[in-house]
Amino acid sequence: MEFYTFERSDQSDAIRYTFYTDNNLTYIAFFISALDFTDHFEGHDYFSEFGWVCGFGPVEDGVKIPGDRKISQTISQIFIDFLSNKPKEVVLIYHCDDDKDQQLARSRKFNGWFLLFSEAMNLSIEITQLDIVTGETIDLNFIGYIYSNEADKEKVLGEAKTFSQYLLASLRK
Amino acid sequence: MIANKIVVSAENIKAMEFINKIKARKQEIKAHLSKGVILAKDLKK
Repeated sequence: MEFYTFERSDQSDAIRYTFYTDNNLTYIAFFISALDFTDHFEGHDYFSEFGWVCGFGPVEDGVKIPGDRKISQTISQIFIDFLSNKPKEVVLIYHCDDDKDQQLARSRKFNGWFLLFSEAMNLSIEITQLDIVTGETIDLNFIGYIYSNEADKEKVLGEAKTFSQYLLASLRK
Repeated sequence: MIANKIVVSAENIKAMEFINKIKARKQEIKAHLSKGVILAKDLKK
């Protein structure tokens, strides 16, 4: 598998990866500890302890991304690197990028990227589509819960379900 | 592979806060990197 060389930067509550493509794009992947989302994961003990919110994409906004298989292969390698020294209980809460026109395509692409490393890493994914409606505008979001097949699946999916219910709650009065 | 689909109003505070926080953190990381790239380019001049 051919992939770009990437740099890893460990910070107190986040781990960031960077790589540069042959088409002069700068890509990032980030993993933020659930500790930074304590307000949202309250009552979700498993996510609070083992959750990492993650995402990736080009640094440059609005760029047209040329077909480049090395990008998906690099993303896969980054996920493998991140998970390699993590306990089997870790849950990655993946948020798809916010480019409205490309979200669905990216979510589908992510499935492809996920397939590249999920088998080797023995992982599963559960995806929730979250459509946020403002007037006639719909902001599509995808939240994927990535977890090891050796983890407590019932616990992970149980918290994924209650977290989705949490996201539905608290309508402004 | 999409197991669930949720449709919420933008007035849903929790959903908006959660998504916006992720987006904000991502923008912070991007902004930090952009400065580094600009600095590196300046140093090359």
